[in-house]
Amino acid sequence: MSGFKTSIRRIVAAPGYHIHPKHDLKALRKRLHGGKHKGHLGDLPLTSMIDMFSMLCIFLLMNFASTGEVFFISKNLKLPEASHSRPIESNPLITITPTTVTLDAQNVGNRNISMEERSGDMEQLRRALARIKAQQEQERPDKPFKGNVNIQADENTPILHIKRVMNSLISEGWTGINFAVRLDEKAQQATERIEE
Amino acid sequence: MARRQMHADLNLVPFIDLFSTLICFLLMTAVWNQIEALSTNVESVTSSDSPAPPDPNKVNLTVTIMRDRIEMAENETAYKFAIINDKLPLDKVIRGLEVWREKYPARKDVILNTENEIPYKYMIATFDTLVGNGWSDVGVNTQ
Repeated sequence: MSGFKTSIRRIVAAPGYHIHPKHDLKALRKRLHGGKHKGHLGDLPLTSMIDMFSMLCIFLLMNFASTGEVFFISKNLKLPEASHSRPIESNPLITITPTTVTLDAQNVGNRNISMEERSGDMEQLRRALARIKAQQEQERPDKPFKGNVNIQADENTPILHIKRVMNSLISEGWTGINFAVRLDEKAQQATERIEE
Repeated sequence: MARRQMHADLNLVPFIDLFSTLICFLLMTAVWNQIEALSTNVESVTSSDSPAPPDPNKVNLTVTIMRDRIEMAENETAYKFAIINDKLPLDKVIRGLEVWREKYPARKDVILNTENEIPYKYMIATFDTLVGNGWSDVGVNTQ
């Protein structure tokens, strides 16, 4: 009888640690789950993570710029560098490659105009520019038409293609031509040091 | 009676939330390419405009970029600087501009001519040099 009772007690006994891998880390298990000296091994060290976040935040805030975000630069287009440029404004953007001329203008009569010109006479480009000009004059009849436009082109594009577009712009009354460039920070800093 | 020792740990979870949000926002709005502009204002040449008669006493200051050289000219007098190994002689151009500055201290206008075959970066580099040396009114000839 006593042997039966003992066997029942064995069945309902609380299960202990029963997974026994080949290399059981007993010491680690003890430190994690109990004993008199309960360690802090399970806590994630957050201080170093917050240090890293702080430095990252400071770096990103220092590089934060509210201008120049309006441009889509294709991967194969490398803008020329300049060190005495000024911040670019949001104007219709003309992208020039040796084969195509692309115009992107935003908010022209509550819509965006985007076209691609492949012919040499720039007829399609001229029509789009005339349409944008008319729209701007209609929206602001009391202000004179400024005719500001941004041009971006790869640094190795022959000047002939730039001149062709510039002639089309001038003939349509777009005389404020801005050449988009990459800011050469090293040259700019060197110039500032010399001036100081 | 012994005082009970207090463990006041700072709750870092809100800090991490804030930093994570801020970093995501800054990374999404970051502008890695610093794009700026060099401006030229070209006078309109539409047929309705009546061009002003040119001043015969005014000296035309022009910088012309060719395939093998850069020419700086005041009316008929020209200085030529050779382009060697695709390197523009901008230091010589700067010295020429300093001479012009002494002769014409009030002037800021200069005309930039280019040959059709030269790369765009040559024009921008020369344009940038002119602007950086006080000649801010650069007119680009499109002929």
